[in-house]
Amino acid sequence: MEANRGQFILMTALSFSLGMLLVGSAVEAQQKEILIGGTTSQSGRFLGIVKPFRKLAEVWAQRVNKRGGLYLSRLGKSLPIRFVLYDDQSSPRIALKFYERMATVDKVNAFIGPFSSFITNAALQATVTHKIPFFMSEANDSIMFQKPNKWRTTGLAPAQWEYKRVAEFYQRTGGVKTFALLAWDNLHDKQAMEGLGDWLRKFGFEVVYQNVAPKDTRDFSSIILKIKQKKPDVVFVEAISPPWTIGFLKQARELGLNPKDVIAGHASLAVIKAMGKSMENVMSGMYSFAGETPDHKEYLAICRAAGFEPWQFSESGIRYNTYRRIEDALQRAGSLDKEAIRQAMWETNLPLFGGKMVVKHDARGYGTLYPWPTQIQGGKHVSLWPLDKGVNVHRFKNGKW
Amino acid sequence: MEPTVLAQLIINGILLGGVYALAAFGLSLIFGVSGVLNLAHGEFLMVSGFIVYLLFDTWGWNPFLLVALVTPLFFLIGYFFEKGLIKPLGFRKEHVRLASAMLVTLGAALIIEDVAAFASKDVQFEKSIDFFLPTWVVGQLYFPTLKLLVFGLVLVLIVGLFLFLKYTYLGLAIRAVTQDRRGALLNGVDILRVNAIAFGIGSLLAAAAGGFEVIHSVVAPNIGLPLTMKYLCIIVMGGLGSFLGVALGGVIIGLGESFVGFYYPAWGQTVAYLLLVVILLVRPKGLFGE
Repeated sequence: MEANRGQFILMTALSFSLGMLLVGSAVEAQQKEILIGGTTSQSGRFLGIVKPFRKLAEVWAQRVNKRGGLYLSRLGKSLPIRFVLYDDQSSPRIALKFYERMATVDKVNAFIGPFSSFITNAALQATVTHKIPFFMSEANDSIMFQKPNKWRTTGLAPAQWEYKRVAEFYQRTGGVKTFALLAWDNLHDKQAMEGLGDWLRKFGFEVVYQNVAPKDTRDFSSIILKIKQKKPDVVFVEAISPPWTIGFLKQARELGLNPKDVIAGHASLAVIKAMGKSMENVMSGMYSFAGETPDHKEYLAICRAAGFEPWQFSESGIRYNTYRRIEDALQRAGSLDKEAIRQAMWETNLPLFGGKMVVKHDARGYGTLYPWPTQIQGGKHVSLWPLDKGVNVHRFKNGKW
Repeated sequence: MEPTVLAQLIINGILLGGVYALAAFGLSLIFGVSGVLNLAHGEFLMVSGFIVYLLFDTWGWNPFLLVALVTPLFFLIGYFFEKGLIKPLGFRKEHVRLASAMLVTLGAALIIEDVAAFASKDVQFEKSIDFFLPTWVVGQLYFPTLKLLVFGLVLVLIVGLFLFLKYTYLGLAIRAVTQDRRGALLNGVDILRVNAIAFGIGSLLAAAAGGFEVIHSVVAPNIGLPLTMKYLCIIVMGGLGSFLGVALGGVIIGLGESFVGFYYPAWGQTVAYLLLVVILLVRPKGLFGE
């Protein structure tokens, strides 16, 4: 009697599981499109950096859909991609609210991350709760990688790698010895600056000043005075917030901080416009470099179709990388099963830009992408990479604001 | 510390104090006359900077001329702001009126911030004018011209306000209302009109500071409330309603930020609040409070 009852429970459980599996497969088979959900900052402090990213996503989806969508082998058919995008107003709290909504109301198949580590850090909570693959985009602060989370990966290398090529650049070009480093007190910026400090020391440079300043800082005169006292050859300012960078640079000009070179980590269009001719020969970085590969052409095409040139929104290179990761993972997963997408996401091994960049993930979920050095020349970013090809010639700022 | 560094820190602190005092004057005037803590004060500064930026971007005129054109408009904006939102609260019990007015101005601040953020969607979130006045350099000391101009303006304002309050009927009325609202009312002073005029003048001063900010630094929709908090520190520290106290409070906070920022940048923004606590512990009415 006991055995019969046990068998009955087992059979019922198996039938229920099978039924759920069949229902799940049927639902998956009936799905007519691939839904990718995310937020972009269409207002708030990050607008100046990511304004066209909504349009960029739509353009990319249109181009994929024009080619017939993405072929999912296990379903035996191609499906179009559709983005579900909300404005997070540059706020972590609002972003999380929308990621919850996308999981429960819009029922997206995968998430694409928002801009910045500190918004992503909040949004990731939804991926833990709802077990949806999360393709992080512009986020690489270590705080998100301290706890294992199998549902997220980023295409970016750790924040400490952000300016490795800048350090390499000065090592190869020479002419400077000492650096002063300043960062916005924020996830990512602090680690990016600390990383640059470590790389510079490793390459034999001297870091004479390294500090962070609060996010609401509007007067930089004391910091600038301190930096002037140290007489660095190069001044580096790192802030994903354009107003912060503008405030520092304007006051540096006003107070006669005239180093041999100035590096503005995130020299967005807003910064270039606010500083005018004073931005000439300021060093910066972009997530792409000079080249003619199919990836270069595709990246340029989607940016232009979205109404901007890649240099105007230098983080757009990360977006391109993220779209390619999503496309690659979905095709390898061959279905919309979340576990299959998640697994494919982790197994990414994607050569981009003529194989000069291969996106892979390490055991923590970090990727391989970090910026290439650029310089503002003629009011726009020009790539200084690859160095051996001498694409554009670096010019020292030499204190000329 | 090298003498030139010390001198430069003092110069930076005093000039920064002047910048703070310009907008804090307005907040102090409004509080002194109407008893209302206008939490939307920083928003007027932000909106003024926003308008100057848009006009500069459209017409390319000299930004100082634009500041001179835009600032007077804010007298009217402040005047009608008081008439529309604060005056209707006037006949409630005093403590209810004060609490209600704070909530109303806080609500207005949040609405203005959201509207400005929405309006920035098609332009730029952060607004900053590319305009540079060469710095006046004496030996190794730097005197930023724009900050010197603002400091000069603050000095003129102190003298001007002193003369205005002492020698004009409206000035006398304002002083009367500041000292005793009920007494002023019994003596025939139209305190409702005086309140609205105080709001107008206060908003005008905030607008002038906004014009400075967009030229010298940067203006964004989210700067209003943090700035209002800082101005509040200054007027409480100086003694509520005292213009000299505001000027001194501004300079003390400017010097505090200058020195602390030099050694510990991470604490540069906190020092205003620490100084406020210290001064209130020693002198609860503020430096010039009565």
